[in-house]
Amino acid sequence: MTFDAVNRSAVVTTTVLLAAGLATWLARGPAAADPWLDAGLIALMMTPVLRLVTTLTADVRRRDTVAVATSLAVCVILGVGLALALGR
Amino acid sequence: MDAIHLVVVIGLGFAAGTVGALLGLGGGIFLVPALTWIFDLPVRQAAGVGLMTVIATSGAVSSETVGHGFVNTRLGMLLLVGSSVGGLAGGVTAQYLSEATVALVFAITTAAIAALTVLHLDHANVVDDAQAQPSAYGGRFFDPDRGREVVYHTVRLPLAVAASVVAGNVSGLLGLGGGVLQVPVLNLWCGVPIRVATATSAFLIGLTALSSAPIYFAHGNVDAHYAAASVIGVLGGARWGVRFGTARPKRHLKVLLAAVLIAVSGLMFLRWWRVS
Repeated sequence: MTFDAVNRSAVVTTTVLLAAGLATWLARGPAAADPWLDAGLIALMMTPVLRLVTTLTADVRRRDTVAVATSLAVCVILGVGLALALGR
Repeated sequence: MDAIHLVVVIGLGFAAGTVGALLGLGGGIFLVPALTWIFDLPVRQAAGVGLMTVIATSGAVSSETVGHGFVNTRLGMLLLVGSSVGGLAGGVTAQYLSEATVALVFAITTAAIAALTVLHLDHANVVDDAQAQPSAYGGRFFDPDRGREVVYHTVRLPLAVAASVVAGNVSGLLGLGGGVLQVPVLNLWCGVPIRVATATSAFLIGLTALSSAPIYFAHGNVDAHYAAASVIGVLGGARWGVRFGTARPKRHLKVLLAAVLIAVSGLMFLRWWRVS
């Protein structure tokens, strides 16, 4: 899938889940809505990850070694930062 | 939160998403205070919601603009390395400079950049020769102002990276996204057209927010109802903002950028005055 298609799919999935969650909340109360909302927020947080993966894949396909190294550095920095923060 | 609050939060998200899409900023600087002042949401919860809206702005802008060639992922990744290094060094800065000093320096800097932005409203940063080859970190995009594909060269790359390091460094201390510094620096000094600078900044802020959003979420510091309503508003606002911004001349975007820079400068002066 292309960067564009991945982006659009992720945004549409997030929108559908969150909209369903808000509709459920209005119709049936907060407890029934929480699984939808949590799923929507997790999908939302996955969108930058997907963008990073598709960017890295495109860099590899172009054999752009500098861009691959930069994207990998970003992955490492984000991963280490997240691991350190979660470990606190 | 009742149905009326829901509509208001969606409206706030729409406004934040519009500004975010037009200028490549997270919108958190306006949304987080609004959530705390209007809805009495604890600052930590509001910050968690703010991070979610930053990711939403980034996703919506990236999905709407990537087909135009506005997002320069190669440049964006390099700048992200710079801002991450700056962010990691934020603790060192905090040891040597007080919050008041950083706020004052930032206030003066953003005011000066706002003035320079106004003085360079017609600076296009594009090469008229469509056959020209862009520089290593340059690119091509469809320029709505000219109605055709244009080329740009990214110059003074060390300055762009240095600005990212500074942006990452002070963002943690001041609670700002780095875009407010990166976008004007890229446009004024590094040869990046305003539309590319804002879209690339929007691409970046989502990845930056990703480093802390899951932590807020895992620790229960994201109110799912406020976040969902804000994000729905942001997704709509960002989508509209991209279309509105693409249809407007670039000088209108620069005027808006200058206005936001002046507002941020005012907020930073206020903060300096309160804490000093």
